Amino acid sequence: MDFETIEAISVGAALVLAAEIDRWQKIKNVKLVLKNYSSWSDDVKSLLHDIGFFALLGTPNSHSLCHGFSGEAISVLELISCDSANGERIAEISSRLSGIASAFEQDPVMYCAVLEAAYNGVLHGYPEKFSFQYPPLHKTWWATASWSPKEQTVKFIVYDQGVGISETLPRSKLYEKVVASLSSVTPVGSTLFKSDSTMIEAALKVSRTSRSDGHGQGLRDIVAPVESMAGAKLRILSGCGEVLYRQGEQISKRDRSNHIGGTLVEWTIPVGAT
Amino acid sequence: MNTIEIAKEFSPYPGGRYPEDGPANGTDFRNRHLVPVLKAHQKAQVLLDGALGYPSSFLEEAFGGLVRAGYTAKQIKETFDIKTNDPTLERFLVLIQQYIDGAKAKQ
Repeated sequence: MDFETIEAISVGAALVLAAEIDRWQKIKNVKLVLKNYSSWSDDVKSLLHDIGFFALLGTPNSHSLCHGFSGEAISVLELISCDSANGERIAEISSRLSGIASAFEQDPVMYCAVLEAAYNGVLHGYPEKFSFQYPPLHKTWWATASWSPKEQTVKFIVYDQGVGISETLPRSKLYEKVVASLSSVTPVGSTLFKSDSTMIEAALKVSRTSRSDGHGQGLRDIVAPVESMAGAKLRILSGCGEVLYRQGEQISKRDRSNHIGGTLVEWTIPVGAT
Repeated sequence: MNTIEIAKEFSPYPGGRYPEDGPANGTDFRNRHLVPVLKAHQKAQVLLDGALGYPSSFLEEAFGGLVRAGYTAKQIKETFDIKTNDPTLERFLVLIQQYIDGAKAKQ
């Protein structure tokens, strides 16, 4: 495994990469070997170290940078992984984050959002009869958080390697409303219905306005931090779709040529936002 | 009147609907703490303080699930006095009422 040519990596990309290595090692039971490690970018090594990438590989921990509170470097928490809606694991993120971002105060809205994103992966992400291109670690999610002193923001990120929102939506109780919402602007069966980003956007819109009882409430919890914290934003990448939602109902979307291999939910929260 | 302190008596980390979803799920909370009070025709105060938050999956299954289990919204509201002293948790008081009112009894 040689990352010599990678100059920079985002926290989200590092989480996706670490999750894939985790899956690979557990399913294939193969030990991966680092190549040209000394030539890798220090920033890349540092971020991968912090997120627990090398610990997953079981490689000697030769790179141990400490970002601390000074400087502009982003502090990243070691990822956590689980295959249930285990709130205690999610609480670990918040308690560790409080340690590096002293101004960060836990908000119950954020706990609910992270838990419901993870729970969505557990509950819907890995249908038993779905034919996965690569065998998944069923029901598994990975999560991390980061703190940027320069931007004064914290990020929470949850990732699963499931089938993606647009694939699970037809089995959801929200689907009828999603179809109704979309069909008001485009004929059913049009290419828009096949766009992942359009489906994510429609699901978000419906979840925010729907007061449906019972199941299907989780997405509203996922959106809630953006509604309640000034300057917060939510990015969802699922399948080939990407949606960015900021307070004030500005939703932007696009479709990429490559599938992200699951669903990644990322909240960016200004510290001190209320 | 008995008081059920969710964070102390059940978990400060609630989440998920069913036992297979996680260790602090709504079904277990409902069956262990809420249903016995209703069955005994008693009243109880439910205190939300001390938890990190109350995700929809947990709350809807715990309280909406009572309606699906055969109790009426009126019975549930008369039995439980749901409170919090933590302003950040007050939003969940409203949600609980919505889940009780919105749940449909099983036919």
